[in-house]
Amino acid sequence: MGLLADIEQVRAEFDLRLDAVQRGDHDREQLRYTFLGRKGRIAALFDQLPSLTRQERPEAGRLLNELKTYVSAALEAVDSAETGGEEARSQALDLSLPGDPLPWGSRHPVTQIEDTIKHIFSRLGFSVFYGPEVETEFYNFEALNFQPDHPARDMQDTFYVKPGIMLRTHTSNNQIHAMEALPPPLRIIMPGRVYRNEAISARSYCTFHQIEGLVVDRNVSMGELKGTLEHFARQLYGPDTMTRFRPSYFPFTEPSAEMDIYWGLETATDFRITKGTGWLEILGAGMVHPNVFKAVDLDPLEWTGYAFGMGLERIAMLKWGIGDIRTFYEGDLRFLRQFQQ
Amino acid sequence: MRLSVSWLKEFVDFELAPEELADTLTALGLEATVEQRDYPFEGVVVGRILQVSAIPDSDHPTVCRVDAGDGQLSIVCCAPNVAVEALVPVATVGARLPGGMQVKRAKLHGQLSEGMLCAEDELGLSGDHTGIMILSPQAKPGQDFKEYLRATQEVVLVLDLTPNRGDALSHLGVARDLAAKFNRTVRLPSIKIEEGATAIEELAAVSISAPDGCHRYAARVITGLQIGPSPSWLVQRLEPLGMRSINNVVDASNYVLMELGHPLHIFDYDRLAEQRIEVAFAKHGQTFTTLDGQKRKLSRHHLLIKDGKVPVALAGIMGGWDSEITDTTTSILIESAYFNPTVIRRGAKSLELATEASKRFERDTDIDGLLFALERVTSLIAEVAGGTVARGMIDVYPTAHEPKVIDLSVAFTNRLLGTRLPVEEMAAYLRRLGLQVEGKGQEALRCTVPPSRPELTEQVDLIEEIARLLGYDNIPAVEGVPVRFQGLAQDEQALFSQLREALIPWGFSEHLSNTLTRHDFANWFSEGRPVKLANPLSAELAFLRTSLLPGLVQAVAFNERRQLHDIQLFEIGAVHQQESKAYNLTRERFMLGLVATVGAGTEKVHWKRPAKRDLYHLKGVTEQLLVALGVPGIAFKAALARGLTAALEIASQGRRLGLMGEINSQSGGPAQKLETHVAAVELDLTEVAKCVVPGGSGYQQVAPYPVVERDIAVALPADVAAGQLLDTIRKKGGKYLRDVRVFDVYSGEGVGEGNKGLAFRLYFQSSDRTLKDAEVDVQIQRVADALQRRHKAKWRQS
Repeated sequence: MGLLADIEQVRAEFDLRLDAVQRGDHDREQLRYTFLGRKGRIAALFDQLPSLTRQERPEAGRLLNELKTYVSAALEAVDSAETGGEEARSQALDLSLPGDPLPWGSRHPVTQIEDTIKHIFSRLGFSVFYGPEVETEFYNFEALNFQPDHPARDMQDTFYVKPGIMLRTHTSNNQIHAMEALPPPLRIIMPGRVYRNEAISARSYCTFHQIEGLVVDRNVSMGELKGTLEHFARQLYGPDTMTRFRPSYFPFTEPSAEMDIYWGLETATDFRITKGTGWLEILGAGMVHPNVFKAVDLDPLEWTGYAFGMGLERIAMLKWGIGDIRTFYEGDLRFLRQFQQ
Repeated sequence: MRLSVSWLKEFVDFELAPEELADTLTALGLEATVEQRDYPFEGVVVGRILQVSAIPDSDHPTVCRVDAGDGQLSIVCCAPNVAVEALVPVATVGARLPGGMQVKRAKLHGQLSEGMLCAEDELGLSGDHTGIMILSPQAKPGQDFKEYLRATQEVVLVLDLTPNRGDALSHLGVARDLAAKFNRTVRLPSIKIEEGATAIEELAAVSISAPDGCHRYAARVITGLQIGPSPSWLVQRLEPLGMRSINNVVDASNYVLMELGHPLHIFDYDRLAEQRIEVAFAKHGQTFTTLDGQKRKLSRHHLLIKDGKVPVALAGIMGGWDSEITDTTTSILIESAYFNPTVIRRGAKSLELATEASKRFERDTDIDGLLFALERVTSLIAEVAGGTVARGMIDVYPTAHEPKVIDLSVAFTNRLLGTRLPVEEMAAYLRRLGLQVEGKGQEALRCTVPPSRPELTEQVDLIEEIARLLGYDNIPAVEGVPVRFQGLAQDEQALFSQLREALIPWGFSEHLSNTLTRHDFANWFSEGRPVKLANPLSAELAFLRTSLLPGLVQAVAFNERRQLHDIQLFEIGAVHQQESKAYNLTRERFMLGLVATVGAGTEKVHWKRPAKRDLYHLKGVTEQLLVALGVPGIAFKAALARGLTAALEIASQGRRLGLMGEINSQSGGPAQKLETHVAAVELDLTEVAKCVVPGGSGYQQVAPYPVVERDIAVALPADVAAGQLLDTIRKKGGKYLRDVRVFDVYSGEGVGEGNKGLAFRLYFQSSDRTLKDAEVDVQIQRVADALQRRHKAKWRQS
């Protein structure tokens, strides 16, 4: 009698797979589905019943039901071993053992500052624009109204590749690239790496990062510059941040300004970094100089604009109290892993 | 520049505490801070001498009873000027003096001494050792001596001036800005010159042969003066500014420099052989010895002051060795000139010689004010050194300076500043700054710039002046700036953020390397020709990197030296290479670099023993990273790569994206100091960005039919690559093969010598029905046959 042999074989197969489930090599739900499912092995056996003789049917039916009960019970037992034996299981656990060490790296603090600043300005409708690090003097100086043989050139010590070709000393070169590439109105920020040919020390490194901002439109005013940058300072340093603007000088803006925030004078460090004034310079800014507009063929009577720029390492050093700018470039994991948030 | 507050008050009235003054100047654009003095001693207090008694059998020494606040001290002193009631600085027992000396209780000349009365040099205040320092009556016994000094010494402001404010490099210049701010008048110093009978023309002559370099040259002569020490008021004016007193004539010249800002030069008249001044450019290759004793080689752009044919000064920069004032000088010729700022700057720059004079000339000077400076210094020298001033002055001024006239649009000014200033207010500010202003209706102002402000050349310069006097704080900030553009829409490098978001949870920390490196490191891992700097800081920092890997590998070594061994780092940044030797331009690409230490020595000490990391780990990271970015068809192919062993080229649809491989710790270069092998990847993000398919590989509905899993284990020669078998399986697996994985790689027992075992799990599924076992079996047989045929891989059926 074929069906009876089949029943035995299915039971043997089930036992084998059940072993596997108990060893954890096979999935319990899949086992249940294979044997008890609507189109499972046991259902297939039931489907054979009509083909038996009337005499054979009761016995076969009984055996089949027995198999089904057996399989169900065995699966239930497995279930309860997993869920019902809670107490035994939890007693076997030592929850004071440390959890799995998940890998987690860190974003570089300079990147974190860059991202924060990008987000603040993106909410104000600024887009991001990039320009090259190896640059011509035209973009880095001349188009930005740095006259040849003017003391302003001393403000930035330059690495040259060859005459006329240099490593950019500021991200302001991007102002020119942006105005050449995109028609006004413009509202962009321009992050990037810059270079200065200065002796390396705790306070100065030959390469660092800046973010430049540029807004060009009809009727952009210094009042808008102030409003935008004051908003920025409150976003970056907190809602109670006090700011002040004071006249300064950059060849490519006029009027030029520097923005200070009130840092306080609570510690000796505060005293040192604010030179005893409590005020700390965080960015340079100003109204785009007419000569810069002329360099990119924009009419300085039609268009006005403002620009600003800031150093990212400096902001990071202030935020975390990092005393040595070289730390950013060593790749010391004991340093980097502190910036995991 | 340093500024003395009391001196400033000679020119303009103000009632501000030093800090308020500094804030006011800063708000005017003359960034100022109050100088914080630190004194090189500790434990010095004010004492009052109560009693002085001579010590028998000694020349000078005396014993002084001193009231030092909390008790009386007995101090032995050798100075001649000790007197009862005198207030003096007392270094008490335990005090530290400059040079590290510590004051101890001692027995001197047989007497107990409980401290030391100090002269100025002993406190590092000056070189004066003529006697004990006698303090003013406001000193109080017991008072900290530093406190006394701070209260009584001259208050000095330190100005950090921007290059456009050459006019403010003097007390008068700063006073002008203050006077404009407070609408006060400036008091000019008085001049009193009694001229002698001899006309200057009989004593000297001046000619300008280089009118482009020197626009005006004025001179005076004084004869019969006497060089000597300066009066103390003069010394005390200069000393707080950090200027050492030299002699009365030099000090007077420095005084006028700090007072009026115009550099003057004084020649020893008798050392000028011909007394005939000529201003001319140097000849190429000509040499000249400046007064610092340096012999300098000149070019045609250097401007010289010559006496007849002989050069006597580098115009506007430094005087000459042979015509300098000495102790025996009795007659002088005083030069007050206007030199072209560009000429002076170029000359000083090429000689790397920046002086007080060149700093001012290159920032431009007052072409009219130079006469006043000449008169002022003449008057002062006559006052402090005597002598007879020759009658008249020489003033060679070939082309008179045309005052700059600038029209200012009222509307544009208000538009640029965001203000509504009336025309009268603008005019008032400009007038206070010394400009002549005429109205041109209500719309514009015609402004004439005074020669003291030569850097004001166009309308925006005047707008800045108006804003300065108005005060930047009084420009109303516009809140709620209207937004007219989409933010960050053009951020191509959003890719960077995606990469960071993926890599950080896998344990990679972000590194930023110095992009400047040494020649052999710059292209250790790439073929590109590195960009060389013409003026590097050092040979170690003379080239731009062509790959991110040297910096990352150096960072690994840095960490290994600090006992860190489980290292995973990444960097996103630009690399540069020269396109060709002749071509001027360089190519800049953004790259992603990944490095991870391989194998043993991970510091993941944990009871569950996490898997070790190796090259396969990084291969998985790379593949998953590219999938996450939406790069389809990622392929790895064995390759040869500089500096890498076991290298693979990474590509997508035929586009080369980068390389990966292992960096051998013995491979030298940046890897020289590595302790372990490092797995490394470098991807060209510009290329990656080109491969990104927006939306990734698209969506397919999940099939409701079961997946059939089958395993095939094979034994095959060890040198056959698993990748080839995977390709065959994919090809021969039929249309229902959804996926195949390698789940085991083994060797040894059962597979035979020189062989390896590989086990694959194949996943079959149909999207429209349940597959029958039999049809899957057929497919498995086909796969096994193909593996056997193509790769000599024997199916090991259990």
